[in-house]
Amino acid sequence: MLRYILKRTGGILITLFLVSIFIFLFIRMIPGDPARLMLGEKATPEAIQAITQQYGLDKPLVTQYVIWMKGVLVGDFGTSLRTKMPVLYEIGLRYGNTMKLACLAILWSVVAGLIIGIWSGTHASKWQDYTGITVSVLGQAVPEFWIGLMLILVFCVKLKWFPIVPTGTLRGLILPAFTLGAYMMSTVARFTRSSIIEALKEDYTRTARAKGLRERTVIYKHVLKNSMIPVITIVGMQFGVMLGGAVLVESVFGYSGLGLLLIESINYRDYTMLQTLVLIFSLHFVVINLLVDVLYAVVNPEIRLD
Amino acid sequence: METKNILEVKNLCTYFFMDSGVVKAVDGLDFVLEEGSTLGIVGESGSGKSVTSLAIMGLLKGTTGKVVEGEILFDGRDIVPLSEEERRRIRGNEIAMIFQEPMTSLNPVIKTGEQIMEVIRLHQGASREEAKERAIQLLKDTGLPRVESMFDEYPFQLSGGQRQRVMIAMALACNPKILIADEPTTALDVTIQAQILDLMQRLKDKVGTSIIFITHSLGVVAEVCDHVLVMYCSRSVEMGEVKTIFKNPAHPYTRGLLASIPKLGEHVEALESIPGNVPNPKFMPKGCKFAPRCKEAIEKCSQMEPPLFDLGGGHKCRCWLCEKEAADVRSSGDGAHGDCGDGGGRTSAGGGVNE
Repeated sequence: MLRYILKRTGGILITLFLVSIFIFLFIRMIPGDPARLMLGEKATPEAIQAITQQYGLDKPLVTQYVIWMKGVLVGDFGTSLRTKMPVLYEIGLRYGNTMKLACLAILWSVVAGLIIGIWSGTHASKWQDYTGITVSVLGQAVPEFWIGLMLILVFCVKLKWFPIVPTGTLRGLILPAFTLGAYMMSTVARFTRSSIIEALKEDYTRTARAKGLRERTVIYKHVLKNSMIPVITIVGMQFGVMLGGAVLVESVFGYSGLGLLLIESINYRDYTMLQTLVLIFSLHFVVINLLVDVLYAVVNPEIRLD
Repeated sequence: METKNILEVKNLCTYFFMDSGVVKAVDGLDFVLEEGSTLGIVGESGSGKSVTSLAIMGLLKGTTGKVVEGEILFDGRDIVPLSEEERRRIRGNEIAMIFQEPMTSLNPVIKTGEQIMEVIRLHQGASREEAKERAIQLLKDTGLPRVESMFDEYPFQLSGGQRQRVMIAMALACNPKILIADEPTTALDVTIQAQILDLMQRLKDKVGTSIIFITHSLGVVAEVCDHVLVMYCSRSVEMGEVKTIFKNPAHPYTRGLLASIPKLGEHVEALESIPGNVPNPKFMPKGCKFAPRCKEAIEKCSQMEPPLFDLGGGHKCRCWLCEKEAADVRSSGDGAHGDCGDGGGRTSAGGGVNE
């Protein structure tokens, strides 16, 4: 297992290196000049040139990349073109917020999604199933920003149960986390449902029943473990997306996380910030992928022992 | 000699209720299983033999199938009306089953040993240690090598034959009175098949269980069964003792099945086969279900379905050609054929039993 993880880590480094090249090139393809955006409409050409030179934006792309990479390798990700602060400092301010929000969202959505999915899957084509399907279709179909706005309207404005502007406390996190997790909950519920329906048709389920096991034991001991692989996959992927900052949810709730930072950085063509953010998001993805693969092995002995 | 019937199936009707209509998977089936004997149920795919076994096990829940009529007397008690909880206590305990597909019938993510221990602990309330001891003994009885290490392995680490042995150990864990084996050797290599059949015979004598052996192979029947029931299109078409059926098959379908077995040392250009296919259950022929494929069919065959004629000595046959012969035999058990729901007439119980 350890050898496997080490091998995978090598792959992760290569992936990140390739991502760094692509992101470096791609953001420079977006029309718009950071220096001009920084200085405004009325800036003189001299001032723009001065800024361009100051940040080395006039150098050839390869040189710029090498300079950036040299810094990255020693942990210096550069200074934000927009705020003139180190990018890691800016990210650090918001990273915890995004992490908290994503974790809380994933937690409730996985728990609720599993409950609804098991409930639906074990009562396929009965009213319980239709209720479950309705809830999960709603969760996927209703846009996040609308859920967010409605929650603010009802719980913050009318009922005054929650602060309108999230304070970083758990109380302030509840509504954004609920909104962010709604889609995820539906996805987990749907995958769990179909996975359980499949597993219920399997021969080993028939064997379990033929042994005279209680239906509860059949479901929770024999069926559930077998139906978790697709669910783990989808949770992993979604978690990666959430850690990339929930742009809509953060905007609606005015929540200071990586999503808002990303949007602002794009608006200002804050190259250094964008490069670092995308690199971090990619890192999230590959690390979560690795975790998911390790989890597969935990669930499925055939993978574990190979 | 008076023998006890451990299982009596009377006028069993199992229908599947689909959106497209009702499929009569088993329609008015009667047979008995004598204590300590082996009954073979033979038939093509879709003849209702597997559904019969699921009905006896009470495993139709969760499908669209339902026992709509008839009785299943287990040890003299009708188990059809029992609650799910009561059926559950019988399943795996007094009536156990092994399935056709050893490769997929064990749970891939649970250790082999645990899967056997589970059933012992459930029905016998044994402690973990007792259950483990018993499970290991069971596995040893099936002739598996390196049982102790296999105990902590997962099914994917075992071969098909080994898995089927594990299934057998699991089924026999609670010394069941009846073991239903649904084509237990079909998916295995020929050499392994023989070993598994041998094992089942040996354990049957040891445990004293009665066996219902579902198969489409008459060769297997000849080897392991005492009585045989031939099914065609949800009905029994012939039943009796194995040697009677093999020596003197009465139904053209049974004769067709026997003719399609290759014989050792005999060179033939082409094996006999029964022409045509099993009819679609939604468009059953009016008279005898086999008539459209039958070489010997007479006019009557396509008009009226024959009842199960008693040919004496427990030998029964659902064919008009047997009418004369049956009339010569004084029988207590011939009668109307067993259509469910429309008149309630049914064949008497009696399969392969001497009455």
